[in-house]
Amino acid sequence: MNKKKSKTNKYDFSGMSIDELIAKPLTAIVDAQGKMAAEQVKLLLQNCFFFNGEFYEPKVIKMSITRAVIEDLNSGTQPVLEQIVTYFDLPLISIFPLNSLGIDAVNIHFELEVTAQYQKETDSADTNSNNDHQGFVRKNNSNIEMLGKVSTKAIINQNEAESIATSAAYSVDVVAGPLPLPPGLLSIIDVYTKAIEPTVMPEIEK
Amino acid sequence: MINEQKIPCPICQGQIPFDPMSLLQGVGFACPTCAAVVSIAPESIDISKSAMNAYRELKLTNAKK
Repeated sequence: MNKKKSKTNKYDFSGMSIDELIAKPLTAIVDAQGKMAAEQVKLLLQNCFFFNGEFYEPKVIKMSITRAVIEDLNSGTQPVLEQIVTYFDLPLISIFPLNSLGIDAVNIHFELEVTAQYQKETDSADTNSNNDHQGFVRKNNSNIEMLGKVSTKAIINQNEAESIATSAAYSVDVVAGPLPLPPGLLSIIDVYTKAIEPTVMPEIEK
Repeated sequence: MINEQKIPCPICQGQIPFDPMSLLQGVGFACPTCAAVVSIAPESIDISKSAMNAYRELKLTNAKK
C-alpha cells in the first residue's frame, strides 16, 4: 500500500495556474513565429538584395510577356500570326513566396484537471485594480486562483496494482500555410503592374 | 501542393493564376482571357533558381527543427 502511494505521489504536483497552461503553448508558437520571421528576413536580404557596402539594392529579374498578334488583317492577304515578346523588370522579392513560411492556424487541445483552488484575501485597493488578466477570478474582496494540470488517465494494469500514464492529453496543432501578402508588398506589385501596362503615346503637337 | 496565386494580366487586366515556385523555375503561365504568357526571361532564371534553392534549404532546416 505504501509502495502504491509513493508511486502516485511521484507524478503528483499542485499544478500550474490556468492562464499559464493556456499561455505557454501560445508564447512558444509566438517565439517560433519570431524565429521564422528572422530567418525569412535573413533569407530575403541574402537572396533578394545586393549589399553594396552601404545599403541594400533589390535584385531585379527580367520577365517576359508573350502574346500573339495578328497582322495585316485589313490588307486582304492572309493574316499573319506573330508572337510579340515584351520584357519588363521586376524585383525578385515581389514574386518570392515568402508568405508560405508563416504559421496560419494554431489549435490547442487539452483536458484540464483542476487540482487546487485558493482564495486570496485582498484589500479594497487591490480589488479595484483589474487582475482578471492574471488568471484570477475576482469575487468581492477576494481572488480565487485555480490551479490545474493536464489530465492524465489512470491505467489499471494486471501486473501492478495501479500505474499512472505519464503522457497527458495535450495536443498542439500548428498549420503553416500561405498568409496574405503584406499591404506594402501588394502596393509595390500593383505599382509595377500599372507601370508595365502599355499606354498609347499622345501625338506630338507641331 | 501548388500554392496558387494570381497576378493581374498587364494586357487585359484579367487574373493569371501562377505558382511562384514554378514561375521562379522558369515555367510560363498563360492568361485565361487573352492567352498572354508570363514567364521569367532566360537570362534571369539562374538568379531566381539560386534564390529558390536557398528558400528550399530554409524550409528543410525549419522542418528538421
